[in-house]
Amino acid sequence: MNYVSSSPIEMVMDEIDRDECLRLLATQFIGRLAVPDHGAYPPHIVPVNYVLEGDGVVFRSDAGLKFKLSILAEHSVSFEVDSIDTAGRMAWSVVVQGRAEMQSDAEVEAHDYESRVDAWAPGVRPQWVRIQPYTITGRRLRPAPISSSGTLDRS
Amino acid sequence: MPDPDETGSELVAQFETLGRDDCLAMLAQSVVGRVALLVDGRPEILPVNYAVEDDVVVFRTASGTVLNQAALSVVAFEVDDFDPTDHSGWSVLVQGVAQDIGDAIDTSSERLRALRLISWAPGGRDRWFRIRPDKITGRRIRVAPAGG
Repeated sequence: MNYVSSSPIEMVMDEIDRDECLRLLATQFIGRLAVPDHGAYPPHIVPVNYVLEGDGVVFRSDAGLKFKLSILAEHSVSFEVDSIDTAGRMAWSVVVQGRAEMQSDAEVEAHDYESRVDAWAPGVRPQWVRIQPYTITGRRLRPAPISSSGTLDRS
Repeated sequence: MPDPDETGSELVAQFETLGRDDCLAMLAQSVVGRVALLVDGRPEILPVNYAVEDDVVVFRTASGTVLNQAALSVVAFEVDDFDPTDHSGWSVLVQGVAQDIGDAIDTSSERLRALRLISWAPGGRDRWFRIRPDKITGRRIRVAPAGG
């Protein structure tokens, strides 16, 4: 069985503001897309390679993505990125909720997405998708500091 | 994609489907996953610290998050690990019913609640969930020279 180490696990959580969320999004390359699955429960979760472009995230829809692009276009989606340091138990997570916008060839070329995002199926003509955000939220977890009196400081 | 290797071959991704046992073995290698569920027709996704015992996934969260609505909902739960150098890795997806075991008095639930799991939304009343898996799928992505 796996679980976090047996040392004390008092954590505090801080909200991350939008600018910091965008800065953190720029540091990672994998995010998880949650998209309705043909009207059935639950949503589908699929990890995708992405790049941050402006305040939106851009990914390729090609091999491995089972949902139809029409579902993307008709529903809002959620996209989650995180980074965990299991040793220090520092961690952050950013969630983008937004609408999926199919990118035109002109937009793909203008932003040079081809060279910025991994192709897991080179040769397969991809559809590039940009998530235009409604909301960007983030949280950071860190161990609760010990106050000078030796007690846990939950402030 | 990463630069071609020294032979000049283009690197391509190869996908390998993981069987159930392999998926469960991969789940045991990580401690953070993401739960997704539909709320008012909109997909919500949140990270959680989790543990897995046999094929049961247990996670802890706090009241006040959208996971409040997870009780007896069918949820998706995903775990992955990707190498930052070549972007190879694996991902596992569990789909099943999320059961609130916060007040359950059976031995199994008591044992699961004793696990030292972190809540990603600390400060509220703790809630413990168990996912009874209906479907477990996964795949490994290897990056190798084309034709290799």
